[in-house]
Amino acid sequence: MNRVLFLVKLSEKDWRLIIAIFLIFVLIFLIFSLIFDVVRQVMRRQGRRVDADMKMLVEADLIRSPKDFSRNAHRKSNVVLFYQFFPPILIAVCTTVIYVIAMLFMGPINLFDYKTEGIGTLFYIFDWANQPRANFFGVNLPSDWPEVISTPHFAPRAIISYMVVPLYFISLLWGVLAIQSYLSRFIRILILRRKLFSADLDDKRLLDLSALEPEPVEEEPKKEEIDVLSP
Amino acid sequence: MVNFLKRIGVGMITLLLTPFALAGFVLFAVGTIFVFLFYSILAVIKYFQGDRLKEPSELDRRAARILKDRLDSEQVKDEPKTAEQGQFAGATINIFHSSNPFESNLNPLPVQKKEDIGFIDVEDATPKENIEAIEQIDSIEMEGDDE
Repeated sequence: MNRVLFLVKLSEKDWRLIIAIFLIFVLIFLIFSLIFDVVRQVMRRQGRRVDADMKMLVEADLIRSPKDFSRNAHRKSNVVLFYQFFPPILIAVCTTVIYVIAMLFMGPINLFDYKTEGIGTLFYIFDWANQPRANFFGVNLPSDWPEVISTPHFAPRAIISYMVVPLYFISLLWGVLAIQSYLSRFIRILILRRKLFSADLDDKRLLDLSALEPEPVEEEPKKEEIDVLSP
Repeated sequence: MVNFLKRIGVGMITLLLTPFALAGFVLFAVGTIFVFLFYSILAVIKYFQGDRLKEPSELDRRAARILKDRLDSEQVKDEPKTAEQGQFAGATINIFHSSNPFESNLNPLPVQKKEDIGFIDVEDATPKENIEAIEQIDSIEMEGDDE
């Protein structure tokens, strides 16, 4: 009863805050739902590669069992993975070589520094550690934006970071997409493995032939009889 | 409204399952890296053997051969017959029929009936085909008599 009364006692400001939080949650759920839809569509499209690769083998009737299908499909998928994953790995290796060579000449470089040598010099940096907070129904929540401790500025020593960090980022993104594509193909192979060899007897109708008289079974002559019959 | 609520529900489930999905993805990524390393070694070996990883396998070649043969045989079926040669090349004998033998032959059977009877190629028709055609005519006569 006290809890209900507690809700009645809420002020106008509290109600507004509750509604705002509720709307924020709805928005977050909507965004995640859309992300889920996009990822599913992309993965479905990536998985179609298996169909294209296995079409010839299936149409030529060379696939005899689910295991056979799985083995061939995985082999092809692995080869595709190698060719898709090779460029990001190459970029990452080249970037690392550039980074190491730069460090040999310039000393240690912190790629994410925001003062003189990192990519952080190009962005606004907030003081998240000292963000203003307030108590809301006993929960300590952020109540305002934190202070800005660095504004975007060009730093000559950070040129290596400007090159290396985007290259690493591209490599990472490309690699993640290649892995996602591999995962999509993996799932598609599992689906097709079951689907290709499945049977559907839903529309099949059989006649009940149980009324037929059982056919007489001819007994084989015993060995003794054969011996007697034989001259 | 129902769709909107469904979407919210999907978003909520996605949000709840995201950490597990990410953990699974990371594990899968580790496995993928091992597969990549294995295939890198395989690619290097194949390279020194003068081969390529992308090269179609023996099974692919067999499949291509089977499909090519199938395609060729289908094309042969679809192609029209080669032009006939000889004095009576392309000539046909149209056999008309009327139920009353005393009637004139100028009233042919309907086109469909004619097709039933058939067109006999002078060049290609074998004695067996001729016999079959005659038997067909006889059977049509019998039907006419019954009527």
